Amino acid sequence: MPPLLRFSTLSSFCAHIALLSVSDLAYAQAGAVAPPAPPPTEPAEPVEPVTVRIEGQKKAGAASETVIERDVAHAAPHKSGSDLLAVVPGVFVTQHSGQGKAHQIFLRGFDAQHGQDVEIWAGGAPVNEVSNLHGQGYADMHFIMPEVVQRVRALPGTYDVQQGDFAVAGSMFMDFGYEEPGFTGSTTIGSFFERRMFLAYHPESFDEETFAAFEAQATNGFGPNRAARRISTIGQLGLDVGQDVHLRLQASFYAGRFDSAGVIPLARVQSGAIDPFEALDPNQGGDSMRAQIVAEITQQKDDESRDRYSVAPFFIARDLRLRNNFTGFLIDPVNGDGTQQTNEAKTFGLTGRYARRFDWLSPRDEVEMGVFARSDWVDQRQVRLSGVNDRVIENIVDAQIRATNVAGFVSAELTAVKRIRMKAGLRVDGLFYNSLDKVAEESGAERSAMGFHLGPRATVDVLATTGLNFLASFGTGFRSPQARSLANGETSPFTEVVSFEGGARYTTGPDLAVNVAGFHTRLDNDLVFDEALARNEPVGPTERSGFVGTITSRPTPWLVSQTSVTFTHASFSDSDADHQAGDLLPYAPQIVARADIAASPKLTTMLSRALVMKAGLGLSLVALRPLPFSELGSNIFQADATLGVRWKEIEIKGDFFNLLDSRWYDGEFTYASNFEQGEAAALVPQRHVSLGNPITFFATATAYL
Amino acid sequence: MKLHQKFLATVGSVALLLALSSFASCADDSETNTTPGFRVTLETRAELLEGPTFTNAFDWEITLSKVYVSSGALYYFDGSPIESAALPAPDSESKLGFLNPFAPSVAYAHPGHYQAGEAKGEMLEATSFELVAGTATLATGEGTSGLFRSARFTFNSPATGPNAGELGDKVLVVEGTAVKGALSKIFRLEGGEADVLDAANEPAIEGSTFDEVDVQSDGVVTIHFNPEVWFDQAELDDVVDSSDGEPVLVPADDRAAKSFVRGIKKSSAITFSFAAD
Amino acid sequence: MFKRCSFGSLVLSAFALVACGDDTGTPSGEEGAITFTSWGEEYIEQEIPADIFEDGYSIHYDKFLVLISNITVADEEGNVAASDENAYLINHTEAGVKEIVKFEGLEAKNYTLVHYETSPAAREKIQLVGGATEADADMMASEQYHVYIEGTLSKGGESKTFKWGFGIPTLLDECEGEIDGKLTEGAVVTSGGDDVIELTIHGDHFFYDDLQSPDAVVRGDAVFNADADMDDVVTQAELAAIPLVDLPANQYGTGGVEGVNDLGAFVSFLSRTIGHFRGEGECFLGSPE
Repeated sequence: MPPLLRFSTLSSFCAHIALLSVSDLAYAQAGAVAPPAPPPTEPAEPVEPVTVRIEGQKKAGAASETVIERDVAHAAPHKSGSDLLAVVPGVFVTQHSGQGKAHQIFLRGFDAQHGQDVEIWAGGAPVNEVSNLHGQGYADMHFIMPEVVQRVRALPGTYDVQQGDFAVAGSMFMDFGYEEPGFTGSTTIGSFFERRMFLAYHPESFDEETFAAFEAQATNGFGPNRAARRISTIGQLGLDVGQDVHLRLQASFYAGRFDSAGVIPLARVQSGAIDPFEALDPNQGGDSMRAQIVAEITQQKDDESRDRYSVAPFFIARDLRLRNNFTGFLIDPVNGDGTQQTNEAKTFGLTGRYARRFDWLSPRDEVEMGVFARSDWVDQRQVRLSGVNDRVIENIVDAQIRATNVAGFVSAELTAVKRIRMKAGLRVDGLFYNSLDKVAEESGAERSAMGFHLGPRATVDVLATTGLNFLASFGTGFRSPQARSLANGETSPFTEVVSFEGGARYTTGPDLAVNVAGFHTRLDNDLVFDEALARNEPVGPTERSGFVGTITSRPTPWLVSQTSVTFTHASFSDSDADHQAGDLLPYAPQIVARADIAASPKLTTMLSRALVMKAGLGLSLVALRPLPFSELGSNIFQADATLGVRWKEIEIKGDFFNLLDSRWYDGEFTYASNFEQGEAAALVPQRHVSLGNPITFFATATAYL
Repeated sequence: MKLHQKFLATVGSVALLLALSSFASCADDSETNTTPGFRVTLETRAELLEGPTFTNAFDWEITLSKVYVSSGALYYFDGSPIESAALPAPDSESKLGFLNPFAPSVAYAHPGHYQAGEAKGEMLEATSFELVAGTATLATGEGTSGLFRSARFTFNSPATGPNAGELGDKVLVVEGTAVKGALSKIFRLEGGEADVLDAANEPAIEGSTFDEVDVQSDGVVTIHFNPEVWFDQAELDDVVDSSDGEPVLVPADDRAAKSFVRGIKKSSAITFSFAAD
Repeated sequence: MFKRCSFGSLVLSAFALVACGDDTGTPSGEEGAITFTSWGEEYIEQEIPADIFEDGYSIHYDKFLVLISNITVADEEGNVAASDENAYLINHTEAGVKEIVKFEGLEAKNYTLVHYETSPAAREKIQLVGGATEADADMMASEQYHVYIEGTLSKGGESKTFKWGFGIPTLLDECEGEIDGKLTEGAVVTSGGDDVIELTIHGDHFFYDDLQSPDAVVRGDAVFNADADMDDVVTQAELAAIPLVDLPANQYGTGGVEGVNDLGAFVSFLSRTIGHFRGEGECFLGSPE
């Protein structure tokens, strides 16, 4: 959370602004849209106290850290909060099992599956689910409406003490907010019978933190078995309680139901045996529910004491049902291989932070301490269902998981000679797991495991000249396991992650920011999707090296763009019977590039109302995607665009997704399947794909009252 | 930074992205680092392991004149076969003299069952062929690099391919002569699909030995049929003599036919090997 | 100045603390133990009931002697952490799990390569465990048996006895079994813990009807009817006189096992398959070097 400052008088506010202009602006982060500082003035006479909230951004913990503000995040159109992640440099998201299942996320050479390697927070609550049956760290973001995302902070690597479980490739924090004052109502219709209603309210006397929003959406999907619908509401209230306490309350509720076309063997598509839009098992799909409550108390006393703290308890209830069939009739030639997974979870937790400034080497020196706690109660079940009559053929999993993660961290930040900022910290995580698997051979056998992880983190930031900083960062993190995979009494139930990064950040202010960085990450024991077993298997140590460059520019108030290019080389570190050191890890693309451009010039004035055009373009490139057996997946180049006009209270726009109508596969996997019942099964792993959407058009009419 | 420079930064960064996309679409990273393993093309042949003449355990000298096989899909695995895990050479003081004196060898399977492991190759096209005339060529299959150790052979019924007429609904038809002393038989033995069904009701022979090899290129997989195993325990005394010089169909309830059926179900009767191109 | 140096050294120390790569192979200093036990389960201690047999027979064992030897524990690189060359003779008809040997002072980590043998042994190497007697040990050594069984096969009021001995050196390698429901290779030693590994003996294996198929069932008919001289005793010679070809074609398959053409050789091969790991866990079957 950004630090909040409270001022009892306008004079103290202005003095603080002066201080900011000397030090904070010199460390300004790329993409931060900080308002220009007014010149300091002395009041002619005493005035009533004015409470002003300035949300400055924390100083960068790494060269490639980015804060994506609303204008960049919404430059190109997005269908959901998950899609919006594509704006984060290096992120590639796919959705291979229906518009309701969590996206698969790729970042910096990591195939994070559905979230196991990317820590995601939304509105102050964690999105990753512990020991979710479908995937560790499962992060379903469909409850997030794109309109209410105020900013996305992306922290790559593991360099910040506040990064905890699932922060292997990095962390992302989504802040909610809605800027349009008053009522907003919009209706969308589009291709494949897309229809959506969005309602929002933001009181003008409050900042964008306070709002309420509602969404109802439905689509028939771009092919058979792709229908989906969802409903979601988010409400957030920011209140000043007294002079120096701020309270933020947030609640969100979501439900979605979706069908899934699953994946299809590429060879059969290429031979013409099946239509690429076909769903080989029409019983696939699922439903998802989420409820989330967050209460955050933030306090800072007067600036002389330089204390601030925040406490944020949260509660999350989740319910997920997934029905998949990835292998057809390979395992059960008669009944088929369809499975149903259900996962119900309740999560209680809190974050707490306390920071104090000291005047050691500089007035900006600071020590911060904090805690994090999270407990999860999970009930999960997996059964195999007959494709003929939905009868339960086999009980595969019937487990209860209890998990607790408690962490404490401390960090100190010192600034020497106003040019060298050093931050070092230590985070200690304790993880406890208890699992009871009623289906296991020893029915009723209960296992527990507990371990500790020490995570030192450090960053050195050197101000070379005005606007140019060089940073070097180091940190260690961990990847937690599926609780059911642990043996009783294991004391190190996680994978160690070590990250390094070095680079430069250059900014001239909000109008231009450039950052470039090289990074290296090592894991002592990784998991890779095994094509023979069709599941993740331990593969020993791995490493990822690469570089990322991001340019964010706002040459004029009506033009914004962000372009990023990320290259990653992910490989095995050691040799064994199945691979050699240096062999590429499959699935994570080596090149991910993205450009978001938006122009919103005022065209003219009609009837005293400005007529503003909004044009936006999002370009995505994913290339050099290694697949097993020395193959390369297909490259993806996508263009999404939006074009609209707003005449004060009325806005009409058209969104195009896949503007070039390219045939593309968002998911590519290599494993064996047999969808031709009765035929000789192909047991050698083959490529399977999920088709990406063709050109799609949405028309939206919005009223702002 | 001046306004035109900022525009340049904006436009230039997008142009860089487009240029990169063009480069990436043409780039081929396959010559540098790759993921482990690669795909291989596997031609398929079938032949008799030895010649058509051999002597069985009951001293019948058998010469085969026709061996028709109706084959289905073939699969190759990295799991080890049971092989000759039966019995080491008995100690001279052992009272187990009635045991067959096979040399000890290391088998590598779970006792009581064979585990195929990972599928490394396959050929899925059904066909039929005759083996006495020479090596038969089957359809080309595919696989992935790595260790090949065992295989699954499947029969197919009704037969398809060049010898479907000779086989009909049989999966194996063998004709030949058998001589022991003054006895001489001209026989025809048949195996139907029902004779070779496994516990999963598939006409499959599991756990055949694939001569262990680390496949690292395209090549030829050869199936070696060993009729000596089919006939090893066949006592042909009761087979009716041929009156016209034509093969006599041995009835299914004849002891020779029963031992033949047992023999064709033995995975040791079919072995595989690989030769790189 | 002092504060700056202190902070700088703290930062450098933090880097040094963790910049040394993973510590997977670094000795942790923690130790634990592995205890090997053996058990024949109720099938040997009490009986194999009729509902287990496909054809309604039941088995009661009077004696079930097994020699377990050369228990070895090694890590995934093959470094032997513990080994015992003794041959332990156990009579599994005596009720209860029997402790064989305990290895203490082992570094706490995973030992994925565990193997043992069921092989004949010289008399001086044989240690008695549980109800095994000196006479049993003398007999096993003189006959060079690795397993010796005595029992009764019954059905419908009729019964026949048997006394069979088998002497085939057998290696059970790379054993794996479930620990609390999780399939685990070998042994797992935790700090201060004791991984108790049961080398389980399955008494029903002698009556399987296939040497390779995972769908083999337990049958008694062929064995029962092998009593050629009708003296109500089925001998190994009588078993060897039953060619497999005379048995139903869908029974007594030999898969890839060569040289097994009679019921005697068939049962002899099965005598090598009785050893298991942690209950239903399995090991690879081989011959000792």
